[in-house]
Amino acid sequence: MKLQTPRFGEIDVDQAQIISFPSGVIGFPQVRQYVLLEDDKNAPFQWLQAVEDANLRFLVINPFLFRKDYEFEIPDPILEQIGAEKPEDVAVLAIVTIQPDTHRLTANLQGPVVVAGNTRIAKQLVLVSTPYHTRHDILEEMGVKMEAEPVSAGAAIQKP
Amino acid sequence: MLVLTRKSGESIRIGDEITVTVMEIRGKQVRLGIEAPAETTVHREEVYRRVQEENRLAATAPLRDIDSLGDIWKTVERKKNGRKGS
Repeated sequence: MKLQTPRFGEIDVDQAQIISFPSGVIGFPQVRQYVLLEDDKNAPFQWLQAVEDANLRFLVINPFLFRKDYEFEIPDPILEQIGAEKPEDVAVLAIVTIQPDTHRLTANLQGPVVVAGNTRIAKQLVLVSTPYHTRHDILEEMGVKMEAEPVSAGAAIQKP
Repeated sequence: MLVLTRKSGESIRIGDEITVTVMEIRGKQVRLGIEAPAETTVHREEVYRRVQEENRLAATAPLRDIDSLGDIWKTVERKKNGRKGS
């Protein structure tokens, strides 16, 4: 299947690559199919690209890369819904926002996306009674005080 | 919007499987008990909305021209490792 994306141009999507979200990503309930795209220039960030809407994509990251102690419980009914037998079968992605005002890279750790490896069915959770929130500054979480770099990320965004 | 008046201890039923019970009314706060099938997710509205709004913000960022996150990441990792070593 061919897919026209703003970032990568035309890409070929194999049916087997598709990750399905039976209830969509929160706020985008109609869009059910995505693919996870690697991006050399922005690794380890990846793109969760919608198949049905080429303009819809999220920057995502494996949250454990910057927050090793990140943890939450996946309720059994959710595991069942996505077809995972145990939590170890589940991959976790955090959706990243580049804050328009500060250009900070923030990750939503309160709304993690869980993907069952065997079925490729995914769901975005909303964690309750959790220390996590929707805007964790990724670079700060890594314990590095950044001065110039976030600004250059901003410059990258503003490039015409 | 359907508006119903209920007393403490009374319930409403939504569809065949969801029951919302007013457990306690104290001043300006109401405690609700919700019985719903396990696959039904129940959230405090403001928490759900915050996640929804963050998703919208994440989706609308002009991400097309981003091409330096890999470099930023490497710089951060270097700083982190450098600090560890010192």
